[in-house]
Amino acid sequence: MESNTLTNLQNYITADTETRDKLREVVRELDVPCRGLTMPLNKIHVAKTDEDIQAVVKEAKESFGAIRPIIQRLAELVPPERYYRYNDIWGRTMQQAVFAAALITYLESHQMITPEQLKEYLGVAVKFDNDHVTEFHISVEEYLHGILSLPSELARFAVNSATHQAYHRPMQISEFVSRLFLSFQQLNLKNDSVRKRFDSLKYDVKKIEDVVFNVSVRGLCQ
Amino acid sequence: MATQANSYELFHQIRDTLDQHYDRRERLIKLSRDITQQSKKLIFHLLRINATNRDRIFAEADKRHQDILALFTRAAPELQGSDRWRYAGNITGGLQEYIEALALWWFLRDRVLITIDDIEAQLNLVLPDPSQPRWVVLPSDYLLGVADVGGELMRHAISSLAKGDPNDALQICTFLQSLCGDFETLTGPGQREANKKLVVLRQCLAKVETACFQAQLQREEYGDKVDVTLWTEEESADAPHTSYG
Repeated sequence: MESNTLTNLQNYITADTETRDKLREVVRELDVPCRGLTMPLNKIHVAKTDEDIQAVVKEAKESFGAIRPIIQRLAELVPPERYYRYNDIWGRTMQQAVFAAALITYLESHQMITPEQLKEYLGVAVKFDNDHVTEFHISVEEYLHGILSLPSELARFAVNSATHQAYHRPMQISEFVSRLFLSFQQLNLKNDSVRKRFDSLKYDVKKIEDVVFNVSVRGLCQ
Repeated sequence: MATQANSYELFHQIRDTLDQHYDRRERLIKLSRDITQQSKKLIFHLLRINATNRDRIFAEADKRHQDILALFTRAAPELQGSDRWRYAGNITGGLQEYIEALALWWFLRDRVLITIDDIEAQLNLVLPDPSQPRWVVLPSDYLLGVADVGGELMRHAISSLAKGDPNDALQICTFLQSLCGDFETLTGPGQREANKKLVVLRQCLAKVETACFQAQLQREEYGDKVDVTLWTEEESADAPHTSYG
């Protein structure tokens, strides 16, 4: 190879590896508050009253104050043109953050998180089109994966709520998850990871319906 | 109720987005496969070269090349801007095979290693209008494609020796030595694909080096009197060879 071709290639590879390393480092940092989120959110399964739940939500929401600036730093490191070169690095972490924000929103309002709300939580928007990337964003796949983590968590929440005599919750959860199921049914999913997650959704739906059945057959909820 | 309607609309949009993305990916995978097939044929065609048919081989290669370029032109609009990276993994197979074919061609014709600029010039040759989508060759495509030429050149070197042309084999040997050396400086931890190809490249080089060494020994012992067909198993169908009897 001509020496300048060789140098160019070497420089390219070095720069690429450096960017990757830097991004990995930031993602590791981002992992800390994201994992920190799961701890308070786990408490919803032991919280008895609705007031307890709201206290948990309040605690969890505080973590986003730490998450946003790290995502911002990540965004600054990623050249938009090469977004897809590196987006596997933060995919899982971003899914977790989306999931936490969606769960908190559900606990507060029993509604699906809107893209606007998600942007407030994470500081970056979801990109719902296929246009060329011009800025850092949450990908549709990350968004769908994050949302798809809700049903299994909520199925568990339904079971534990009934245990804690909060008999009104399983009904709410059931309604919410069936709406979510209908939404996902509109998609023509390929045989990929989103599809796999979606396929397991029906088991969660069934689990929640079981709880609702058991509660209502005993006349425990109006 | 309002949010329900919004969610319905949102998932409609997501469906359209995903459909579009999957369709595009599918199209590129198909094109990549077609490019691979045609490039493989081009490689086989180029390997039929011998001392007498060079011009004919290259002229025919040119024709085949045009067909491959037509496939690339169809893929180009789908691979602009950030999409170049989004679908890089779907097209790289075909592109690497094509680069391998071109690298072989360039070596057989000019005894040089093809450059990224050469490849991009070929890919963008058919675009008279500068506003049309351009092809960008990624350094990783280039490296992985060029590494594969080692195998083809090894085959060619062995058959050159079989035809009694040790000079050609020696040139290939020198070329591969330099290519392998360059590769050593370019690979490293974290480049799994490139490292795998380097292993194969080293093996090819070793075979060519051994073959050249043996040829040299033969020449020392028997001079030019050696009947090449006695010590080779390979015979080229194109080569007019002497019979055993």
